[in-house]
Amino acid sequence: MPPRLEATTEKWEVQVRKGVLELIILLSLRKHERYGYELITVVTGAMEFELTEGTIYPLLSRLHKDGLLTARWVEVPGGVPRKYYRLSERGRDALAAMKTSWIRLTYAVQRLMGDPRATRQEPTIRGSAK
Amino acid sequence: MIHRPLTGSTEGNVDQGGPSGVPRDADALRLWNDYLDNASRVARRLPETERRELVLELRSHLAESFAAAGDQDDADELARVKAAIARLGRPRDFLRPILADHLLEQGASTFHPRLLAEGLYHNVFGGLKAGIVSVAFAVGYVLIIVFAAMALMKAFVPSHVGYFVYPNGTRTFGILADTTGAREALGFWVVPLALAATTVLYVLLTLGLRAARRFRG
Repeated sequence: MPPRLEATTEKWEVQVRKGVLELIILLSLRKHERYGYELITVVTGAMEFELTEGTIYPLLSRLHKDGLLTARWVEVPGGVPRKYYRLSERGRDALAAMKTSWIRLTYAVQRLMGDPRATRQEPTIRGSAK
Repeated sequence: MIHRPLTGSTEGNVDQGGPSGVPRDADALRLWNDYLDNASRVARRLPETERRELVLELRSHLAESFAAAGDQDDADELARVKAAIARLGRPRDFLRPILADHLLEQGASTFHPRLLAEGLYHNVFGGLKAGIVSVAFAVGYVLIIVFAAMALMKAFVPSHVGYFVYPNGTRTFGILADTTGAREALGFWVVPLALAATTVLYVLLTLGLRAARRFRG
């Protein structure tokens, strides 16, 4: 017996979101320096999906280790210190590359779905992360 | 060694409910500190500075989440901490990618088999529950082999395979090397019984495995 249809699509959706979360994080840090909790609010607000909040920390840790993000601790007067993340130069380059492949990918999928606006021609990518 | 979550970023104490964003209610504070202790334990294999920063970051997260969930009303502090913890998730679930990365990296560069095994474990299995489930399945499949072997070996070494009753009341079902003094109670009925056990166990385990795979996230 194959698994329930909902289970299959849910599983797929979880995988897609996981894969795209990295891009969303980099995009959210493009213009602002943010701390973990703030980042989660922005991400869940923008994407309209629930997230086990903790899942963002291993991702931030890896992006930081890979040099895409810089981090610093900021004292909060009378409160608990926050760790702020910012996009590094390397992070901006990575984001630009990721944006290009994201646009290519979505474009190809649109074309397969029969969207008439997605012709065989390569999409033009305007602007960059910088 | 249990590392206490830190107050501020420099001192080494348990939260006392000092800064705003940290609960003052004793029960809420205990839950808060227990959670951070647990996170620290889960992350114990990480390098010291990384582990400390991670726990501080989770503490900062709890503080923001706790503060955002309501005013400074002490009465529902416990509920607010519980809600903040539930949203953040269990450290042993969400920290797995960091642990796996670190352990595999360490294990691969030092050829340390235990680190590698732990890293693989975190990579492959979904935590303690899944670990227990996979051990249970492994035991089940070993039992199948034993039952099948019993059916087969009864033909060759009949006096060592079966259901043995000892004079002192001890009973053993299986393949035995030493059966001195024991009476075998089943005779060749062992063969159909062992075959039936093999079949039933095989079907049950396989159905169970399918169900487990279907419900895996």
